Amino acid sequence: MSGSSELECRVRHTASDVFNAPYRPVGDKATRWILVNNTNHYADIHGQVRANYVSRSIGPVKESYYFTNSTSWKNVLTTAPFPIALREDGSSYRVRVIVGGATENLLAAANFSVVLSRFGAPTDPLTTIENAISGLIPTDSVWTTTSNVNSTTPVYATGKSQGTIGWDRMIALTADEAAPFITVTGTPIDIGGAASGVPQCLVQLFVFAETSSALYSARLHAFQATEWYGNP
Amino acid sequence: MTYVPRNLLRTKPSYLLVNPGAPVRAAGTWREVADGIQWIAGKGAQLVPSFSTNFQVAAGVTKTLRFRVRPRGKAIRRVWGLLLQANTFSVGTSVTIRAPAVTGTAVTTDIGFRALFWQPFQYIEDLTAKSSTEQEISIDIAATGGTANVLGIGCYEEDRSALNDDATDYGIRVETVVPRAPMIDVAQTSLRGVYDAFANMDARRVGIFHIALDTGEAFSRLSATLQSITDLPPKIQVGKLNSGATTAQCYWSCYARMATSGGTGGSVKLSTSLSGVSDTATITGTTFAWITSRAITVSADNFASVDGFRNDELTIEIAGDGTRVVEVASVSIWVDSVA
Repeated sequence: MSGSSELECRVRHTASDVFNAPYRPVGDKATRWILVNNTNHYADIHGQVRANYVSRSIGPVKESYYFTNSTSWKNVLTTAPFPIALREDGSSYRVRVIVGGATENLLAAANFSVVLSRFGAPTDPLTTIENAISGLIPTDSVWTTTSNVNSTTPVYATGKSQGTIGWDRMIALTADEAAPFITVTGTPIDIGGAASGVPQCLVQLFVFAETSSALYSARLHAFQATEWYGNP
Repeated sequence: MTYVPRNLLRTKPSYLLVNPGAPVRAAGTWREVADGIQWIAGKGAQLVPSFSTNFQVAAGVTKTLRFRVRPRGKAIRRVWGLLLQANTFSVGTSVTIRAPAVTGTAVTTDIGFRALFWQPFQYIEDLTAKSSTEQEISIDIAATGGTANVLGIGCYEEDRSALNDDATDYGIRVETVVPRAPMIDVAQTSLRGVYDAFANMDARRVGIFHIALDTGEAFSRLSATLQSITDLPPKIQVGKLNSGATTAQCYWSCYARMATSGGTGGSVKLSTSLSGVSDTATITGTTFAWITSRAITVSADNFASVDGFRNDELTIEIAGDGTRVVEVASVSIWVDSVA
């Protein structure tokens, strides 16, 4: 079970029946199921799809996949910063990552990894990946393929996060890992309103790839990242 | 106008504190619920999940991307994120962004020295009004001095720093939801404020999938045989609503035309693997336009799984009529309602 609500679904409600009625008692059913359950469930399903890259099979001539001929981890895709949702304990919503790739030639194998971090992080994304994969600093903010992608036709890859939890297709920041990325962004308080600051945990997703032969490229064809409340 | 600050962290009110015959506590329940509702209401949605564009903009050319969305009604600012790269080392290559297209404020960034790397770039679009109606959002990308590669684009609504205590934002005056405070029937106040805000918040996972190109290099096909426009079918999944549900509804539209008039028209077809959707729109007009949005039912979150994943894959195919070319510049999929 991976939700935070009692029923893990939305309870239908009719506003006129239970809301805004002076002198009515506050019932436990309305409070427990409609307010408490639904607030938790809506917060759960509020997680956004932050990235949904997939290469084109037709269209403009420029290839629409990302590639590298590097035999060591090379950054092939970086998203712009986005404000990830934070859970009640200060850890981030989990990010469900889906990676699709291919190799240019069957004589080479491709591997991919993903890290949740940000430019200017205390530890740069590449070092975080290398430390996590080597086991030096296990972290579930890093995901990497667990078997080579050895297909010239794009396929979805399988992998695992590199921390103590070891999710199949999720990464996340602990509260300690998220803290350095919390910043205050300037924004109007309302339409045309005075300047104000909104605290956000601004992160980016970095996708790395490597090939076993520098003669043939590793190709990233798809990358999807969706926030998910998750439990744990 | 009073503003109600919202919190960085979501809350998790406990149902275990609410039992028949027991008092409902202000501190443990009402305040937690109020803060949770405001966290949802003020958190921006991702209108356009970042997607792969990988097209080029030659010097002196402007390309326009269009997306169909239904925003949540409380956003006041959109943040566009782009991945930009100079096609060759060229001093003076720069990119100018406008959102919305044509009328947006132009912002220029120099990318001339970044032929081997890409530069994430953020463009801020301040809105003139809050809106939750289905609409087109758009962005212009122009290059000067050299050719620019546009590798990816996304757009999210900026989080609100505070909500108004009015009938648009439904901010809750949380100082009235505290122990020993009276329960009163006043807007944005006390329990009425909590119920009103709950009834008027919007918790949608808005943008599900978008792919867009300038109309000048739209996906095109003459053959009447359908062809996928992507190398891999993207995974598709939306929020779960009802008890026991494995699917839920979302909407899609495309910005398309036929290159020449006559004939039976071209096709844009969406189909899914797990949820078994098959929905085909017929394109007949010769002017680019959005088709009327169409509802489809796709897989919903799986709460029995630790990562909520269902393996539902979306295939997007297009076809001409055999003698006339269909041109599809954009395909957009979004969640319209979780009410």
